[in-house]
Parts: sequence; structure tokens; C-alpha cells
Amino acid sequence: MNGDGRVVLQRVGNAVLIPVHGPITDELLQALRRELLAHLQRVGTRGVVFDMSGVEVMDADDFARLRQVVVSASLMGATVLLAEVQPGVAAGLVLLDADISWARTARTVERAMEALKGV
Amino acid sequence: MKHTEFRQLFNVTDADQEQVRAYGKRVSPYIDAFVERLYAFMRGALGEHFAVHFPDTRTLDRAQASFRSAWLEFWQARWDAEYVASREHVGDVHAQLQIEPRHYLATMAHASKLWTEDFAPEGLADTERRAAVASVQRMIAMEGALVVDTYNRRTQEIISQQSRALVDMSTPIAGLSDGVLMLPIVGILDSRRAQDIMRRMLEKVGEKQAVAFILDISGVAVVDTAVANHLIRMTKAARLMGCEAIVSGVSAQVAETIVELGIDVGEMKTTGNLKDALRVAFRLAGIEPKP
Repeated sequence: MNGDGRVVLQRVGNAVLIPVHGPITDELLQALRRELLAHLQRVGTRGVVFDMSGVEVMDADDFARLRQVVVSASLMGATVLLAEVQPGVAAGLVLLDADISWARTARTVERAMEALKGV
Repeated sequence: MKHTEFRQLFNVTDADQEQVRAYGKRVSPYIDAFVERLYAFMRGALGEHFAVHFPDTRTLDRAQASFRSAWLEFWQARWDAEYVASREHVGDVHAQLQIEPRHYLATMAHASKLWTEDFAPEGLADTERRAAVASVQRMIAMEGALVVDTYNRRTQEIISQQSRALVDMSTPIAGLSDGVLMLPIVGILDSRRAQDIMRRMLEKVGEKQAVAFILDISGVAVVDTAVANHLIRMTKAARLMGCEAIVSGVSAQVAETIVELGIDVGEMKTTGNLKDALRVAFRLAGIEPKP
């Protein structure tokens, strides 16, 4: 997902990798959900990785809205992992007491792909 | 610019500088006598500090020589960036030698008295002398303010350096293996320190791509609700980054306290000793421990 609202979906093995960049806006989240769900329906991918390394700032609201995308993808039977969440983002969300219990994470994209092998 | 700021602050004009230069021409022949008198004053006024700052004759000679040239420079009444920089250096040196500002300022005050009374030039009309003395005193005060200012800033820098060093010292994060980090927490975990630790921990997790992080709390003095919450936060933040934090060294007493206080530790992984924590961590990192 980029600043211009375009979503890049990269197929890696039997999973799909989506780099997320820049500030989290409603348009971006909508585009992300639309493209991801269409892809899941078309291809039937079971594993999804969001590469969060390009996100420097995210508040609790952004994170809650990201959750909706993740939940909707899981409803279609996909497992979604967040990879490469930045230290500043992690510290910020925790200090804001954001609900993070839903998030499945991996340190690196590589590790995320590894974890998705079984699904 | 700093030199113009100080000039404005102390209301020093070109005319003042002219006055000081003219006055300086008359009094600077007495420079050696002045230095001698001033050091005699310092010896008396500083007491035991004098011996600390000037432990041997070589140090004393060197100090006197630089003192002498500093005053000759003063009488040229240049107040430009270069001169200001040289006075800032004086402030730095005073801070490094930990010369007390009160000793410095007392010396300056005495110097001012020596120049304007004891070594006052003959044959100056009263009004002329008063005007010159006013200019001289203002410039001496301005110089004193600059030196103390620099001294103060330098001291602050030293303090903040030390407190940074202390923070670093209090978070000795060790890499145990690929993807496994460990941090023993010792002492008191207040919220400031907890935030420092969390920041450093998350940075390290990002930098080393760690997947397991052991927080050993056997050295934490008191575990109460606040401390438990800090630990839970650290664990959560690490998990967001895809790194599992394991709190090890939970003693029987700490376990009891946590239950008594009704703290919900949630999904925080804890172990009683470091050995168990290591086993968990290595399994997470995909490393088989040697039997």
C-alpha cells in the first residue's frame, strides 16, 4: 500500500506479501481491504504478511482500524501476520494502551513466511 | 550572535570600548604587579582550594602566564566572535577544573577593584575617571557573565552525559545467540527507567532481529502493581514487534505478591529461573539446546 492509495500484493510461495507505507489513512485501509479480499477470493491464499517496516507513526485508532482489515481477511480463512513493526510504533501503541491482543506478529518477513508454511 | 547579545544585555557601546582601550593603555604597564597582587588575594581568599587548583609552581606559573595575557587582551577591548570564543574556552576550563563560580567571580571583583582603585592612573580628571571606570566595570561584568554562562552550560552537559551513561549502564542488553537477547534488571524499576528500558529493548530487538527477549527480574528490589504493569507493557510491545519476551527470575515471594495484588499478567510468559527462560527462548529462536 502506498501513499497514492495503490496496493501492492506480492505473491511469495503460497502466501501474499503486502508492504504498508506511510501514514495510515481511511482511503488506504479501504483500498487495502478491497484489494486483499478480492485477492483472497480469486486466488484462495491462506497466508498474508503485512510488512510494517514503512510505518513510522500509528495511533491506537489506526491500529483498531487495521484490525478490521485483519479480521475480515481471517473471516475468509486467511492467517494474517504483521512483520517488522518499528520500535517507535510498538512503544507508542503500548503506552497508549491500545488493544494488541488480536495481532499475530513476526519479527521479519522471512520469519513470517516461515510461520505461514503450515497454514 | 552571542557577542552582540551580550553587548546589548550589558549596554556596552563602542564608546565604552574606546574608554576601556584608553584606560587600558594607561594601566597595562602595571600588569605584572597586578598579577602578583591578584594571586596574593586568591591565595588568601580561596584557602585550601588554592592548593587544589595550583598544586605546584609549574601549574601556577602557567596559570599566571595565561592570566596575564588574558588581561592584556581584555584591555584591547575587542568584543567580537573570536574574543567571545576565547572566553568561552575559559569557562570550559573552569568547569573542567571544577573551579567554583563564586571563586571566579570573587577574583573578578577583586581584579576590578585593583584596576580601578589601586592601579588607577594618575592625572585623570574626576569626571573622566568615573566614566572610564563605569565602562571598565561593565565590560568586566559582561566577561564574568559569559564565563559563568559557559561554565554553567558545560556543567549541565557533563551532568546529562553522566545520566545518559547511567541509563546505558542500567540496561546492559546481552546477545545470547542469534535472535535471543537478555537483560537483567537490577534495582528499582520506576516508570522513567521502565520507559528507558523499553525504548532500548525495542531498539535492540529491531537492530538484532531478536525473536526472544529474556527480562531477568531476580535483581528487582520490589515488584508491585506498577512494576508488574511496566513488565506487561514491555512484553506486549516486544510481541508487537514479533519478539516474545520472557520474564525470568520470578521468586516465590514475587509470585505471591502478584496474585495477592490481583494483577492480571495476561499472556506474559514467566519462568522461575533463568535456565527455563533460556530453554523457552532457544526454542522460539529455533535453536536446539545441547543436551
